Amino acid sequence: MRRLALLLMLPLLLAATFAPVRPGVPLRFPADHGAHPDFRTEWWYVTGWLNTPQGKKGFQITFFRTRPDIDTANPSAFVPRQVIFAHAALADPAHGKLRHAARIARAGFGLANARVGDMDVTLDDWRLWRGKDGRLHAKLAGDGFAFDLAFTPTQPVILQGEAGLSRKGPGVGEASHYYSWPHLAVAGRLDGQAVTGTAWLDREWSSTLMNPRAVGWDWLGLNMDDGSAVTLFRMRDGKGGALWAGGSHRSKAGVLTVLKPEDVRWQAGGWWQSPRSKARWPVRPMVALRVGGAWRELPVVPMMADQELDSRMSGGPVYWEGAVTVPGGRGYLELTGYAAPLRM
Amino acid sequence: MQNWVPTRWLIVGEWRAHPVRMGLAVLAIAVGVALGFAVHMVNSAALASFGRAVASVQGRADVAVRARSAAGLDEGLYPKLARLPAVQAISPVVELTASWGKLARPGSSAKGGRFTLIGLDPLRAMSVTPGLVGLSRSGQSGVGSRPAWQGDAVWLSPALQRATGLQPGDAFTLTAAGRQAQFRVMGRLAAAGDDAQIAVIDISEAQWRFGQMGRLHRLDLKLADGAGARAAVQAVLPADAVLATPEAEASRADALSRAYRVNLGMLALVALLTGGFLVWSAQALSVARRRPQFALLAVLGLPRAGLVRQLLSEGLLLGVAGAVIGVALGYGLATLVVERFGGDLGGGYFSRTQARLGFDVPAALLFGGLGLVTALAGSISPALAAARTAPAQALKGLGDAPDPAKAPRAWPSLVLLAAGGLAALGPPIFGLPLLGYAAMALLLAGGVALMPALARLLLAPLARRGATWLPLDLAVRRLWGVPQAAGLALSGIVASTALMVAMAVMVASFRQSVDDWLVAALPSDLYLHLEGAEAGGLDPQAQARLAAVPGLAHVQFQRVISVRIDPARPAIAVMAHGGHASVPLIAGTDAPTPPGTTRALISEPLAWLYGWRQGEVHELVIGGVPRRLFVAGTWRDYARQWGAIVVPLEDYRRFTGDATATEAAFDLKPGADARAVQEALQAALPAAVQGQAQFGRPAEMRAVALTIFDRSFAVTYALEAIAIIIGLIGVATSFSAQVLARMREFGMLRHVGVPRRQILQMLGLEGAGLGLIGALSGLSLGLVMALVLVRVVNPQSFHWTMDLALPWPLLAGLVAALVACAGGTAVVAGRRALGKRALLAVRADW
Amino acid sequence: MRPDTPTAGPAAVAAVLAATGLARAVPLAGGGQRSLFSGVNIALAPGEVVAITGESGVGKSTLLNVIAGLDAADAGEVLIGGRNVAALTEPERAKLRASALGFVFQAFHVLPHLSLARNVALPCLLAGMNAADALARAEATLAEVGLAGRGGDWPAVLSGGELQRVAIARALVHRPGLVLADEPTGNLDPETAGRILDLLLSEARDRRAAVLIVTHSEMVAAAADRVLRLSASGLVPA
Repeated sequence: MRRLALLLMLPLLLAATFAPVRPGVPLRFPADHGAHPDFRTEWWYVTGWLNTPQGKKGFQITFFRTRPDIDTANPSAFVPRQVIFAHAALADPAHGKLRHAARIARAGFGLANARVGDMDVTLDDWRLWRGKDGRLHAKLAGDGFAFDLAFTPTQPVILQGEAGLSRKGPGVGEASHYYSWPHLAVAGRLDGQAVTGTAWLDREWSSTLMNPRAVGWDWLGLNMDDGSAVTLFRMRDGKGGALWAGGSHRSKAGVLTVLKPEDVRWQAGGWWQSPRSKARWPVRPMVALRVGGAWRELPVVPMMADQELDSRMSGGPVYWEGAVTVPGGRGYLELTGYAAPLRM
Repeated sequence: MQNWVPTRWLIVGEWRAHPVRMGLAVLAIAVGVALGFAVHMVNSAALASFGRAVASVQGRADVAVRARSAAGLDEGLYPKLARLPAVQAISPVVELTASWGKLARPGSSAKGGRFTLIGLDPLRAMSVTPGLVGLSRSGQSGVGSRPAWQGDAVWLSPALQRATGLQPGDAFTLTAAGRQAQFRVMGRLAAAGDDAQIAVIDISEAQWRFGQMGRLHRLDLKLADGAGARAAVQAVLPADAVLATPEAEASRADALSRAYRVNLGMLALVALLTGGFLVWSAQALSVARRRPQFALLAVLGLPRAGLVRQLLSEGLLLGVAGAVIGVALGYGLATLVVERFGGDLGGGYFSRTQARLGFDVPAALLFGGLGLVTALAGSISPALAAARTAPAQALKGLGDAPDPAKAPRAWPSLVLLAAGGLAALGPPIFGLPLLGYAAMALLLAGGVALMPALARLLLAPLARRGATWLPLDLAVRRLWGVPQAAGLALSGIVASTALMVAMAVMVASFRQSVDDWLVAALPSDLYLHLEGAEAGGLDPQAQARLAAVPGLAHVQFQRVISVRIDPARPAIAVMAHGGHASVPLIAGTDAPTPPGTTRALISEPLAWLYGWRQGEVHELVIGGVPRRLFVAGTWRDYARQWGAIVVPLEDYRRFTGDATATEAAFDLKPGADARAVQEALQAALPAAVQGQAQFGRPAEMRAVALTIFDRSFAVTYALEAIAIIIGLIGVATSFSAQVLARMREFGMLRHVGVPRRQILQMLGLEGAGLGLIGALSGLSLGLVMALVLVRVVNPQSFHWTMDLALPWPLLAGLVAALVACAGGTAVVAGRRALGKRALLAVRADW
Repeated sequence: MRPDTPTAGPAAVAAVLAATGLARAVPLAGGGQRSLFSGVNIALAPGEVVAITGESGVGKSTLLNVIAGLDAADAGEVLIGGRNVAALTEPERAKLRASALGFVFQAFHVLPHLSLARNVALPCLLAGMNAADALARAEATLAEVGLAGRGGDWPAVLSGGELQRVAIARALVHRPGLVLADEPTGNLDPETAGRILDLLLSEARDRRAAVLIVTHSEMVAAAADRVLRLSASGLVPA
């Protein structure tokens, strides 16, 4: 669901007022943990597995910033120069489906804001920020669940693509600035109960990244038990084929392999039909990546089949975002464009 | 068990013999039921649609924080409230009175109208007032999709879309706060309901395009459960904000028209009461006439209980027929009224909403039931009287015959009248003049009951002296000797005349006072009023351009805003007046204005509603800060029932920094052509407000005002006319019944040699005498009741006073018509009675 | 009923009407009372016709009303069919009139808004008969008084004699044991009066109904089995 934000600006891909994604711009931290308001869209995406007294649960905390295409002299504080929205979900096998909540607001009045310079995104009483101690913090509550979590980095960030410039399609400029932070150690409270776990942060910002022929995408981020990390994604066309694919592999020794389209195979499988949206989702894909000339196959198994999230009430799509395992690792799988083709 | 067959035969026989009389009794009940039911239906339809419209504009939030006045609130309140833990969701709103097209004067064919322009943040509104968030053409929610909300996008409520005839994609030019802007219709607010005229745009556009930068008018809230939540919100509100709960909003909607509705409802019940009188008089006469029949039945073995049963069955049938016809008539009447006058019967309370009429079954049962009870109550005393009669004497035409030596008792009716007088002095109950109405009912009952004694008293001198002219002598002696019969015939006419006189005097007084008030309130030659300019009207440049128009001797600008003192009451009008305030003062003081206060003149309704008195100092929030106002006088105001305050324009400008004006009064130079000046002024107006501008000359404004006035009282006039017609028909039938019952007497008179002509003269005189007594009694009773209406009911309902004005020509005409009608009826009935059968009548027992 | 009051003899037990010691006074306008009659005793056997004569104002009609239970006697008692009228409640007296008595009046008293048949059927209905039977009986009785087939007519089209025929039919239709007639021929010309009287008496005799007639008419008195004269001191044979 990284590209959910794209829905908000579909007709405006050629707008010139947005900052372009340019190669050769090095990422700098902590500034790049903060917002990039000149770009059309941006997200802070935390997913992971929690160990709770009741067993393992998955969680997703996502903040989006999108800049509507507004060029107006209107001085009103209500002009939506930036819109912040956020989704949060808890995957609990005992519940059988996701508990989720959403927030959306125009930036302004101190009620909704994405800070420039370091990570601090607020939306009413929801907040995701980097503390002075270098840890990331998330505090938010939805209907039936409340997160108060701290994420302690155990490894450096992964710069995806060419030093943080990740291509998303065959076309020129179809790219984003993209870094990931795997193997974040989680400590905190879920519904007031102490929990631990492992999480993954994805950070991406761009103004133009989607190929016109793409109808959706698949994404997978895995924290492997041996300390390595796997990132895989592909853009799909109308026939279900890959328009583009990519990802990365960082070994436990810290050796980073950037995956080219030909290094990624993604075989949809394990179709599950949602009783609510009637959409069919391939929730048990067979993925493979080629690292160092050797193909490694990873059969993906979801924590539960029903991890569909319907954000249509707040203007988003229906997507599937769920906790999954592979042999020797666990992470999050994202599927979009299966409920309805994303209109271009 | 009792055998019902004879009862049925006798009722059928009676109804076939006297269809008119029975039909009239049915009609009396039917009219009462119909009026009550119709008024109730129209009122509840209007109120429901008004309530729906209010709810639509509100979008059904839990509670709302509202600005006290159109000046709005600082938007800084928005984050302050949003951060309160008690606030679960919040939606800031800019709400402006707006207009489109050219606002039409009554009678003009120009197309245009007023509506509520709402600016909101759809992302926030989605979770508080989703009904106000529009769908784009594709049906997709506009949330987040840039083109859907920003720029010139506007969504229309179904009612406004119908009124404008605009389709998605069309351009929509609208004016608000003195500025004009063009928008593009994106779609329809399907969930906004059918009643409210609303257009919704983005809040940032509303602030920018209509000069509301930094201002909000409303914050819709969704609160956490618990009583503390409202208190927590209340605690942080600035002086210029009020917390409007749904209960307060509902009470405001109710308050707006409550007095008016209760008054009409009471009038309808009075009509029903008159119907009850008519049933009673019809039944009493019918029983008197059939006394020998009942006696025969008693002799033949019909028990008393059977007799009572028969008469009550008759009453029940009358009641059922009347109730059914009444409910049907009422429904038809209500439909007609809503179509012709709108939901407020022309009262002007709900002009912006559309009433929908539904058949209200419980109300139909209630009003039908009231009709039934009235009919039964009207039948019960005649039935019991009939059952008490000794059958043998009655059969011979004796017994129960009125004994001229016995004087009718006057004290019970005097007690009723006294009680009525006391009730009139009572205070309002629940803000309504319920005791005033009780006083009217008691006076009516007492007045009617007093009739026999009064008739006898009035005729006593004549009867003692005797008349030399035989017909007159006979007539006087008959009326004097049988006052009960006269009272019976008179009850209906006295009741309806009294009501008619009371209403006529009240309306005439009101109309006269309104007319005087208009003259006093409109001293200038030409007036300008900007419709829907609450949020801002003419800026100083425009004012200067207007003042520079040639032909003007003097210009006074005025700025009117509405300010909410009490969230449960409709807002009051604050009129910032330049120069000497030309309001019709009813009391004023020359006392100097205390330092630190502003000299204010309050309207009479305001004094009533908020208890402000001359010489006092009160606080009122103007420009966000409570200001101290010195009440220097009270003025009469019929235009703003919820109160108005006149303050000096310079003080207002100092308080608010708002230099705009919404109204202006122009005095012309001698010889200047009013029409030409008006055209020049119109041309000097900024283009944006030309459609909103309404010019008026006092004469035509008075004409329009009085036309509206008369139209709002059209329903009242109709009620009166119906009451008086029923009363007249009642007199006609009861009189003719009495005349026919006296056929034997006429036969005897002719046998002893009285010429037919003289008998007719006697009857005519009797009838005219009866009519005169009835009319004069009704007139005096009506005048007393009018006093109650003018001095008690009106001030308590509408919080204004009026001077008593008596429409003498109308009253004299009424008396003359009644006398002529009663006399004529008597003669016509007499002709019938004196036909061939009259000579035989001596032989017959009936 | 006082135990020492002389009651009617054994013959009276079978009587249709037995009245003993009846007395009635009327109040005077200036206070005090005027006695109408006292010590009135009368008994009628089934089928017997008795005429009562007397001067105007002596209380003949009042006596009839007392007998019918429409007026209360100041003293004495009335037994009709063996039942003491004074001891009955008002509904019981009404029921007694409806079942045991028939009435004929000087002024006919035919209800103008009911057809002849319905007028005649009224007593049957009041005695509890159903409407169809009552109407059939009324038509038959109308035929017996010479008005065959006229049941649907309205009273307004009838002459005085015809109206009194209707009244006679109404008085007899429910087979009462006693018919009380108050000047039944008073409003009729002599010829008609004769015919009506013959009709009343013959129809009553056919049914073995006793008839008590109050009259001034010599002719009526002559047709009775017995003639009694009412005076202030009582009822004596004329």
